[in-house]
Amino acid sequence: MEDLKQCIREAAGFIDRTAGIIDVDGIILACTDEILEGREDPSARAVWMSEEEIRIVAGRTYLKFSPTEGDNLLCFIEGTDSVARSYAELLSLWFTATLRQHNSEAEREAFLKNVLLENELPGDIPLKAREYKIPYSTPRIVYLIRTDQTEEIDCIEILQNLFPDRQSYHVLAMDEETIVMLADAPRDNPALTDEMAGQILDNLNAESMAKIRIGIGLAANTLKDIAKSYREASLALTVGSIFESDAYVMRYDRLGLGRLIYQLPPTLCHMFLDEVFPKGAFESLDNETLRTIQKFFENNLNGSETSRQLFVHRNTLVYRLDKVQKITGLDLRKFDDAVLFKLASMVRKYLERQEKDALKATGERRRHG
Amino acid sequence: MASVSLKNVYKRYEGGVLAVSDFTIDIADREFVILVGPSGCGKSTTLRMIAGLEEITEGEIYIGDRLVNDVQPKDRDIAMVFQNYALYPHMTVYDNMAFGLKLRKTPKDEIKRRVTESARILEIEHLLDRKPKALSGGQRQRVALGRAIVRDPKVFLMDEPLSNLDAKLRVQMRVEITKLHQRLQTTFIYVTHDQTEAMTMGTRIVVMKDGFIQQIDNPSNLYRHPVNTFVAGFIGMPPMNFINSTLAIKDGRVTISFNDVTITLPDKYAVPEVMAYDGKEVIMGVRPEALNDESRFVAENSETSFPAHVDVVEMLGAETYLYLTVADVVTLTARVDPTVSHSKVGEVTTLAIDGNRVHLFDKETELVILS
Repeated sequence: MEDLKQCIREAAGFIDRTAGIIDVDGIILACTDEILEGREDPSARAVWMSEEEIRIVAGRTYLKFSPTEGDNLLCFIEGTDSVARSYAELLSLWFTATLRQHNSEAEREAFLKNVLLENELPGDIPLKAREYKIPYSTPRIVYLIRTDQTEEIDCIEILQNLFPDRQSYHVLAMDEETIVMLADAPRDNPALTDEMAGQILDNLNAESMAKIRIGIGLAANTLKDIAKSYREASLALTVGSIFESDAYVMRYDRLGLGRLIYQLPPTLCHMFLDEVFPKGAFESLDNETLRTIQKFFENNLNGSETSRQLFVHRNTLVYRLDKVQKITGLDLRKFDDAVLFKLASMVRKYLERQEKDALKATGERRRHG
Repeated sequence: MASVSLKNVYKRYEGGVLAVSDFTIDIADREFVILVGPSGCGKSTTLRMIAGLEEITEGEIYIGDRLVNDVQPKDRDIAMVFQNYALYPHMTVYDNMAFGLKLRKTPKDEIKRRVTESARILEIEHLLDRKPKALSGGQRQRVALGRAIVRDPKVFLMDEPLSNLDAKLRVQMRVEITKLHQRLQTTFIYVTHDQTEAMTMGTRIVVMKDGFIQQIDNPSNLYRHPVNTFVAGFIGMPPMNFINSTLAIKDGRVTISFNDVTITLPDKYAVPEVMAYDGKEVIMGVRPEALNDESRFVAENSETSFPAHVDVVEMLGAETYLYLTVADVVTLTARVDPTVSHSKVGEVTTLAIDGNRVHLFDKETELVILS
């Protein structure tokens, strides 16, 4: 529909008459005079009843056409002369070509979605790729974009316009909240992947004011492998949301320890936590201490750099680390203890999320049952 | 146009770490407020909470008189400009500016009116038919701003919009944004990690660290009267010199000693809050421009003069930076006038502190005693 409206808007630029498209119910779908859109054309019923392909009624020329099999439309134009007839024929050809192209794009998108969701037979993928003119062996990256926005501002339209090259970028709506952008992998500069994610995030935030999280998979060498990249991007989003809850872009190749912890069974996690933290020890660490620990780890246990970045005196840092040791029994200045603390705090986060998800699932089951 | 108020706003992520803690501020209508601080201090999170792109854990946010805690971002009547805000490459400048309005189903005539008006404000009317690749960096940045202006928001939120630009263009755009604020007469909230940007653009600056507000003040007060060593060190380039010292009261006057150097401060420091530190350790803060090696100045300020070894001399044209050490321990930076400075690398020079511009901080709390 949008494609037809786009055509008619463009037609308004060079046709000095009112023209439009009508459906089988007589409703004007698109018109050079936007006010008429959505209204019923009083002559349409008579034209549809007639067996003639072209009819002139009430000062308008009507032409029946079928852009695709089983799909019937009427093109109308103001005037009864031969010029009006020629315009009607030209417009109907243009609309037909546009709708067919649209359908072919929809099929192409459906094919790519099926590949992502592993609904295509591996042997069929190269053949269908050729059919849809999609290069098979181009390395590509999956950007999985999750948005809370389900209506009004169209994130897909924003992305399609931001990356208009349809050969290199495919924007696919997977469901109401998930969009996949399949992009050619940058060959020489891997940093471009982050840059592109930043562009997607900032533009969607600014234009649609939607809350966005992006997961990025590894580069897939062939079209067949994009399903793997999609799974990786999805896992990056899940794992990232647990261990990097303040991050908006999560890369599968930068999940770090989170990747390992995510695979651990909860019983083992509980045993490990009980072993590392005395009861209530972690909970009694205040926010200032937690931030200090976080910065201390970020700076590879370098006290001078940590105190510089925290803008505190070195003695203040020493005091805070001593306090942690008193509460948890772990001296974070020692590598082994630091590793234990880091792992245990991540395991703790993972368990908290699991409990939260379980509660949510129970709540939903109760609501539905 | 609208005021913005944040009342005791907190942001706590899963795992317990507080990103923003007890953030309270009233931003007046048409004010240009800057949130500044080092990476990870919570400034962007605060901006995103105002926009609604980040949930708040606790507190209240008002835009105008309306409590917006539960209002969707798109309904808050704000516009955002980000660092990676790219233009649509295949669209003209006009279409780039109109695109957001088209998405919001704004009538055509209204789109035309707003784009034309915004282009006039930004002085890019002559560029409306051009595509992004035919624009200079500065012009592109103005178009990016134009995309926000056409929405006619009550509040502009900008998250480090100049960070991706080269140094020269950044300076140029700093001026452009300041002018834009004057023309639009709308509330601006701007996030940056660059203290120069903050000092030159904002009418009021919020300095943040570790999710806490350190100080809210105008640029002049922030520079002249920092409330703690963090603000004192963060604001100003080169940063303030901090010297661990011992304060003593001699004959009713305040003296400061560090590494065999003793200086006597003017009488304005002989007040009870300073006198209470008699015999205690303090941190003395001295701005680089409050240190001078000019012979006449040193002679006139003999009570605050001391020798220092000149390690490096940086000539910047209008000013010279001297990097010095005192007794091989204390490192100092001085900003001096190249036309009267006589210091040479490797020599011992005599410096004097402008006694009236000394800041004193508590050694433990790092809070200001007097500045």
